[in-house]
Amino acid sequence: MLTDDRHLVERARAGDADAFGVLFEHYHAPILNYLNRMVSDRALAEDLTQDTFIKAYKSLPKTDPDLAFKAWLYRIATNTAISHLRRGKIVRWLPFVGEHETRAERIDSQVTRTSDISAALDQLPKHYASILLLRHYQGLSLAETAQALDITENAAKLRLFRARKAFAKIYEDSPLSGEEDLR
Amino acid sequence: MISHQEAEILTSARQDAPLDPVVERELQAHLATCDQCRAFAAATERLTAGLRALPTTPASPRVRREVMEQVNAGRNPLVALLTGNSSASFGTTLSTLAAVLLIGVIGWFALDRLYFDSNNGNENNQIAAVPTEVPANVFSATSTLEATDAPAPTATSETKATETPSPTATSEPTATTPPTPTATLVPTSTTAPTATSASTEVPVDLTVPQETAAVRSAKEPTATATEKATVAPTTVPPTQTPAPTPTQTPEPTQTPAIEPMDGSTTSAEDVTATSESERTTAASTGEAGENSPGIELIDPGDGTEGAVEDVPNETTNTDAIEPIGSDEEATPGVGGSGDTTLVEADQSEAGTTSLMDASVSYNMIDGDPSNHLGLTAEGRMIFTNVPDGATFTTSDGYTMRSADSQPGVVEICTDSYCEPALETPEDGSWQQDVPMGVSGTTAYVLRIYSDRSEVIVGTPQGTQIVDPAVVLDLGPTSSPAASYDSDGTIYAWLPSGEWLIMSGGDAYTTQSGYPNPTLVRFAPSGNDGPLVGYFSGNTLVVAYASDPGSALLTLNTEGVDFDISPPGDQVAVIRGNDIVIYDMQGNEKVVYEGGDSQPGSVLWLRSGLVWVDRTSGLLFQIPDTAP
Repeated sequence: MLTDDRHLVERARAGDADAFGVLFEHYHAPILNYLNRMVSDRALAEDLTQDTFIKAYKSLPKTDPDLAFKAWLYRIATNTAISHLRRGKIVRWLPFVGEHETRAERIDSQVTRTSDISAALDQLPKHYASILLLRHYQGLSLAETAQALDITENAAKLRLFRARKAFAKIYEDSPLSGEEDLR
Repeated sequence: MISHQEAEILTSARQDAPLDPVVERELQAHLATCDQCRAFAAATERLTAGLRALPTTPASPRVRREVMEQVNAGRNPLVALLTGNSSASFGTTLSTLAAVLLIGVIGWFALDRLYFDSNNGNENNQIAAVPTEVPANVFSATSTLEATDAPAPTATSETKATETPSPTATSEPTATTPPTPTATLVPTSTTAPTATSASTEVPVDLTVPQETAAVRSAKEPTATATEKATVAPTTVPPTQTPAPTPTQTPEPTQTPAIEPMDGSTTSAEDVTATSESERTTAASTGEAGENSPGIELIDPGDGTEGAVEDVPNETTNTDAIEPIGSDEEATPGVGGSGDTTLVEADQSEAGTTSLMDASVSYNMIDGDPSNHLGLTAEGRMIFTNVPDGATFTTSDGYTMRSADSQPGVVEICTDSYCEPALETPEDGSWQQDVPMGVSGTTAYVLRIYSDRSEVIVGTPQGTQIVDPAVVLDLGPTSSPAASYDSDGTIYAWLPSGEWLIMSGGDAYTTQSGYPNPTLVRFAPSGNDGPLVGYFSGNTLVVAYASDPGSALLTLNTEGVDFDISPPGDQVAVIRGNDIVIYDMQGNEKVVYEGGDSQPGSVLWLRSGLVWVDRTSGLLFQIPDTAP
């Protein structure tokens, strides 16, 4: 977070395009990376990033002075991505993982492989993917994550728990996991 | 000692914040003895590490260029136009250019007039008529360009500015936008001719979810307004009829405003409200059966027999909901107690409803998901084919049921054993006793003979029903298929074509022309008394619970499920893949168009209408359906 974020946001809210430009430079790459992970399509992620910042620029004058800009920006990005995916009907919904159905013992160290993480993220319901990405990929605090998703911190904790369970379940059922069994 | 679930929750929690040392030790102790939890802990830690290690990509020069172009264009539209920046602010810059041209033309004529004044004052009257035409033409041409050429991102503001005079235009929010000095130069009388055509090009505000915009563009605002004029909204419950708001009728003399790109654009909330009003279309007016096929009207007793009023046929999206006992604030549900933390609907940054939070699987609800969603007496959601028809428990803990080992015998069970509840008659014509239900400490049993049936009421104590009394002689009948308990009253359909109703230690029957009811649902707190609804073949019947056979409303529909609103003034029916709400006059409103989804069950809570999607396995709530 920029040390003078608040000052820049204040100026940008007043219509200072230069201030907004500084904010854009700071958050441009993180938002792009986040959206890229959300939609798994670099070109699309770029379009959505553009949409996100234009929305932010247009809406900024209407925000409260105490706006948490970073979380707010991620909220716009998340909603932009979800809206786009829903329009394309490519949001993937999966049944919630049963409490005691996970055979997590089958998850081994290969889960850390990037491709596995990416593949599992692709299969997660998007609201689970988004909270995991915000929390651990983008490094938002729990409070920021909750703000970005417009939910309470307790809701964020529970959603993170469910997301982790869902991730474990997906990985458990993945072909890779099956290959492990065959060995 | 912590449970497996607690261990998993703690395992997740410590990824976000260190645990209390004591709790951490307890968790470690549990993990040391639990392979499953230890594996989950390892997987969670690897997931976290894996996410942190995901590679990042550099910033995009294209995004930087395009965003900053638009930002800078917003700062100075004229410069943007002159420098060829025509992305999102193209419409704005065109408007600005038009205004500049207008100033130039007026200025030219002013100079011209000064010239003639100084040379030949008699020329004045001949030339004076010209300026009033030229600016008008200039602006009219500009308006056409804006309506047809303005690109999506900022088209809203410019197009709206030209739409304002039309009563059907959706531009009312901009009417309150302070016009720029340039805009004030625009003659108000020149905008009307272009308003109608422009209004069909409903632009999309950037802050509005696109699915909303899609709905908007699918409607013809002019047609909508025409239909609205014929609507009689007072005949429809307020929850079904979004009343036209004052902002929907802009002042015809409003000066069009050219909006700067300074954030003073139409708010998303305003646009959404407009969108919803546009999505509202009036149903055709006519008699029952003519314009509303499949609807049979029953006289509700208020003189409205046969009348099908115009009602909005509004399609809305659905929100996802959080599960019972979940992570959000409590929302009151039917029953008023128990697990009522049911509904959460995320809000997008613009305050519109987000559809992103589809996180609740119906697998989290007890019961068989192939059954119908219902509520327990404690207000807990459950899948059940109410009732199980076999076991009933009194308020003081005695259980009444059919005895497994002795066919036809009703038994009462304590914690440890069961015994026959009633003495078996010596009468050789006795065939069986059927437990019908309990209400408080009162038990109801149907005793069937070969030639008659009796309703017996008594109080289970020990393993007996004490002081049993015959309260109703039913004549010849056979055992009902099921009985239903609602708010202390027990209902059963008898094969003889009657409803048997048992309450307050008494019983009575009422005839019904709607045989073999299935999926019986109640609205125990209806404003005019408890209601009951049920399917009889392909007919959905809604009636006062006190007289289930006298329908208030019948609908010819092959719905898979339905539910009555808690106040009892509306009925939601799953019809095909759609969800339709009917008022008690039979007027319908489609509140969800299923598409790829497959609604399987619907339940009306005080917080709104909840439905099960068989395709995704998730629960959703339809907004604005709280009774």
